[in-house]
Amino acid sequence: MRILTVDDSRTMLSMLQHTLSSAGFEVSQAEDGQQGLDILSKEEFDVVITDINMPVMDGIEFIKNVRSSGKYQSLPILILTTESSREKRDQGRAAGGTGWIVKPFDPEKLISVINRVVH
Amino acid sequence: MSDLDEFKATYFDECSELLIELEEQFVAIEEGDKSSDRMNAVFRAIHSVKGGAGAFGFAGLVGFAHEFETLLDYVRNDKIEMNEEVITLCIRSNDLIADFVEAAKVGEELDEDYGAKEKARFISLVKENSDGENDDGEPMEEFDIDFTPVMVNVEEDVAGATKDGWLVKFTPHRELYASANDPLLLLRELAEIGEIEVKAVLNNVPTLPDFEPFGVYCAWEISIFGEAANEKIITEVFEFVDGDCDLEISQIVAQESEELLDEELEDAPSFADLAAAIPVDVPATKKEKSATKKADNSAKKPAKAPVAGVQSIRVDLDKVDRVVNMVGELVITQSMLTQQMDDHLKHQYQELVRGLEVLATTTRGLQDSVMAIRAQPVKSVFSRMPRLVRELANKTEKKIKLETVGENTEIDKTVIEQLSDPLTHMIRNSADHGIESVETRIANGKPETGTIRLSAEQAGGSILIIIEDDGAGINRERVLQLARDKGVVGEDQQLSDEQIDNLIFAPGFSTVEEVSDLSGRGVGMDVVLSNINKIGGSVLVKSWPGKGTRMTLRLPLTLAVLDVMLVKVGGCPYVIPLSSIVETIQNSRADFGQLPTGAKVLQVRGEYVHSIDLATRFELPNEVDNKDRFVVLCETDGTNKLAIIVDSIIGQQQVVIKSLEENFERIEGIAGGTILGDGSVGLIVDVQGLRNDPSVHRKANAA
Amino acid sequence: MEALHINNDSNESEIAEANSLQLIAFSIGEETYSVEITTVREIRAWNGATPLPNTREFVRGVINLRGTIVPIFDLRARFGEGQTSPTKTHVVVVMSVGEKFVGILVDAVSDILTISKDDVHPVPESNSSGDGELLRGIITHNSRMVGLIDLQAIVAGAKLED
Repeated sequence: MRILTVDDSRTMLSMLQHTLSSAGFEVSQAEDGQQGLDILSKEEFDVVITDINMPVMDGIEFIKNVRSSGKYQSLPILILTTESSREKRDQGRAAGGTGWIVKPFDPEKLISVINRVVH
Repeated sequence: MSDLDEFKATYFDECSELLIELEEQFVAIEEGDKSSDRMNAVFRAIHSVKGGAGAFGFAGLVGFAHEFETLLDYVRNDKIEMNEEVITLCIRSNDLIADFVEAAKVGEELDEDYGAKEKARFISLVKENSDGENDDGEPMEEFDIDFTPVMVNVEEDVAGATKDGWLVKFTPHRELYASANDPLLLLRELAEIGEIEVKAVLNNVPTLPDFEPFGVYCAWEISIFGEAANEKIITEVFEFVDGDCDLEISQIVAQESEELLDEELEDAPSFADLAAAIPVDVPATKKEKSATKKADNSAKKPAKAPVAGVQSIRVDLDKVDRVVNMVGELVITQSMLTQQMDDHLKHQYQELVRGLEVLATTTRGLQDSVMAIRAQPVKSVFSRMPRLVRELANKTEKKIKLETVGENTEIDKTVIEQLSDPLTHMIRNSADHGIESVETRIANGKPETGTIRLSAEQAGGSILIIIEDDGAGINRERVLQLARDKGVVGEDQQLSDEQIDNLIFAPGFSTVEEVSDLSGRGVGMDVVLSNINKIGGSVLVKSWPGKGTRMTLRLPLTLAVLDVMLVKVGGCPYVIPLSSIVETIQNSRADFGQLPTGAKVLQVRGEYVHSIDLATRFELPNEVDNKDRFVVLCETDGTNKLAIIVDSIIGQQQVVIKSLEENFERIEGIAGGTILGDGSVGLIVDVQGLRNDPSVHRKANAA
Repeated sequence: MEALHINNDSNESEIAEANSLQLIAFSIGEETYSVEITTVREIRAWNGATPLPNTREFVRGVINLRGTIVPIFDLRARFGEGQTSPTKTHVVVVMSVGEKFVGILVDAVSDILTISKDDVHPVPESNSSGDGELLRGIITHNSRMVGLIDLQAIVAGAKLED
C-alpha cells in the first residue's frame, strides 16, 4: 500500500517513514503542499497524510487543491493536527480532509486510523 | 544507534537549522520587515520545535514552546502587534528556546522557573488580546445526539429473545463522500464493536431518470448488539464525519425497534425494482465505481516517476569524509608517481609523462570538487554570535552591536567546526577589552553603542575572517610591560607597534591581571592562535589606539591538501607551504646583516627580514656547508616576512596534511605532519609560528 | 617481520577469570618489560622514523601508520639507558594510550604471559634510577623479573620544555 506523507518537519517525516514502512507501507515524502501535489500527479497512492502548517502551500490549500482537481474523490487524506488546534482541524475537514491524527502520534494509533479510512 | 536516538539526532539537527532561521527572521523583523511571510515562518519554526519536543517528551521545552507558539499565532493573525516590546520578548525567548533544546540534547533539566517570566508574558499578552475564543483546553465536542432514554422493564420477561443493543440511524451527506469517507468502512468499524444488522434506507432513492451519479440518497440503520457496544464507542466511529451526516444513536428496546424497522423497509422500493424500470445502461453508482477503481488499482502497476523539484540530498558526513580521504590518498599517489620520473624516464616515456600531467590536473579538479561538497556557508558559525554579543553587552553593561558581512562565504566543514571557539574568544576579547563603557565612549565623542564587525571573504587561496571593533584599541604600553615582566620580551628589545600588538598571542600571555569571567578562564589568545595554526591558518592583529582593533584570521580554503616545497634540514625532510614562499635564494648570495639587538637579518631589496636557521632552531646537525645552503624567503599575511635557512631544496609537491596532535602534541614551529611520496612522515614548517617566535628576535641565531 | 595485528576481541573472550591478565613481554637488552595485551594494536618491524624537533631524547620521531602519524618512544632511552641504534630486527609495539596511539621501540618481543592480578607486586621504593615511576608493578615469571609498564608515564613529558 502506498502512502504519501507531507510535512515540513523532517523529524516528523522520518518518524512517519519509520512507523509506516515497518507496517509494510511504501512511503513517499513531500516537504510542502506544492511538492505533495507534484508527487501526487505522478504516482498513485492509497492514502495521504499531511501536516497543516507548511511553507509554500499549507495543508488546507493542499487538500482543497487535491479535491478540486476532480481526480481524487476517493483518496483518503489524513490531517496531522495538534491537540489544541481544533480550528485548524475543522478547517482541514471542511476543505475535504477525511480524518485526522493527533501529533505527537502513537504508532499504533496511526496505523489504526489509516486502517479506518482505507479499504 | 537506536531508532529513537536517530530520530532525536534528526530532531536536534532540524532544531539547529530552525534556530538559525529564527535568528535571521527576527533580525529582519527588528529592522522593520514585518511581512506576513516572516510571521508565518517564525510561527512554523516554533511549531516544528514544539512538535518534535512533544514526541520525545521534552516537557520543559514543550511547555515553553507552546506558549511562544500561541503568541506567534496571534501575531501572525494580527491579533497582537509586533511592537518593540514583543520583538524583544521574542528575541529573548528565542535564546531561551535554544537553551531548552540544548538542555534536552544533553539530557539535563533546566530550573523549573527557567523562562517563567517570558512565558507569563506570553500568556498575558494572549489573554489581553483574545476576543473570547480560546482554543486551549477545550474538551472534545460531544456529538448532538437525539437521545431519548427509554425505560426498559427488566423484570418483564418478553416473549422471544430480547437483545439489548443500539440502533444507529445514519444518513451521510454529500460532504461525507467528498472527503473520501466511505460508509462501507464505517459499517465495517461498527461490525468490529459487536454483531450488526444493517438495513439500507432507500426511500429517498429517486427513479433512475432523476438519479444523479453523485447524488446522495442512501441512508442506513444499523443495529449493534454485544457487550462492547455503547454510545461512546459508537460515536467515536463517526468522529471523522461529524457534521457531514445525520446521526441518531438510540438504545434498542427489543421488539419495538424491530417492528419499526420492518415497517420502513416495506415502504422503500427495492433497488432491483428501480433497476428493472429502465433498460438503458445505468451510469455507475458510487459503489460500483469504487469497485472498478479497486480493480484498476490492483491491475495497474504504478509507474516509478522521478520526484521533481529535489535540489539537494542529505548525505552522511562520514561518507563525504571517506571520499575526501580517498581523494587525499589519490593526490599523494599521483604525486609519488610524478616524483619517480627522473629526466631520463621523462625523455623516454613522453606519453607517460603527458598522461601523468593530465592525471595531476584531473586529480586537482576532483579534489576541488570534493572539497566543495564539504564546504558550508560560515553562516552556521556566525549565527551564534549575535546572541553571544547580546549576552556580553548585558554582562558588561555596555552597549554593543554586532554587524555581520559575508555569511554566505563557504568554508570546508571541518574548518568551520574549528572556527567557533576562536571566533567566540576573539569577540569576547573585543567586548571585554576593546569596547569601552558607555560613559567613556560618550566622553570620547564616540557613539554610545560600540560596534563589532564580523566579516568573511575569499581572498586568493584563503578565507579571511575579520573581527573589527571601534573600541579603545590595544594598550601597547601595558602589553609591552607585561611581556617584559613575563620574560616574553627582552628588557631592551625594541618592538614595532605591530609586533607589540601581536604579543597578545604569545604563550601564557594575558592582558588581564585577574582572570576575567568572560575571556579569561585561563585560556589565552595563545590557545586561539594555536587552534588556528592547527588548521593551517594564521592570525594577525592591527590596532589603532582610541579607534579600534582588527583581527584578521586567514584560513586555508581546504584543509586536506597543501602545495608545498620539500626541503631538507639536518638530513630530515620538512615541507614549507608554497603559499608562504616568496622566493628562494642561495645562501652564498644572501646578504645577511645584524641588528643592534644581535638578531640576524637578511637584506633583500632594501628590506630587513628576520631570519632563522632551522637546523639551529630544531637542534639538528648541520649537514651541509653553509655556502651550499639555501634561504627560503617566506611571507605571512602580506607584510611579515621571514627568511628560513635550510640545507637543501628538493622540489615541489602536493601533500595531504595530517595532524600531529592526534597522537602526540603540538610542537612549536611545526604546523603538522604529512605523508611524503615515499611513505615517510614529513613535518610542516609553521612559518607564522616561527615568525612570532621570540628566538627570532634574540641573539640566538649566530651565523 | 610483517606487521602483526593483534585481534584483541578473541583474546578477551578467552579470559575467563576476571582475575587474570594477559601480557605481552618484550626485551630491552637483558631486561624484560610487558604491557597488557588489550592495549596493543599492532607490532611492526622498525623502518625508520622522522625525528621531531625540540623533544626529549627518548622521542624517536614519528612514523606513518596507514595514514596516521604516530610518535615512537625509544623505551631504552626512556629508562635512561642510552639511545637504541635500531635495525630492521628491532620492533615497534603500537599501543593505545587513552585516545591516542603511540609506538614504543624495543629490541624484541618475547612472549605472551597469562598471570593473575595477584602476581603483580608493587615497585620497591628504593629504585634510584627513576625506573619505578615508569612501572606500574613487577611480576615474577619463571624466575625472571618482568616490569609492567605504566604507559601514561612513559609518554608524558615528551616535549623539551623549560
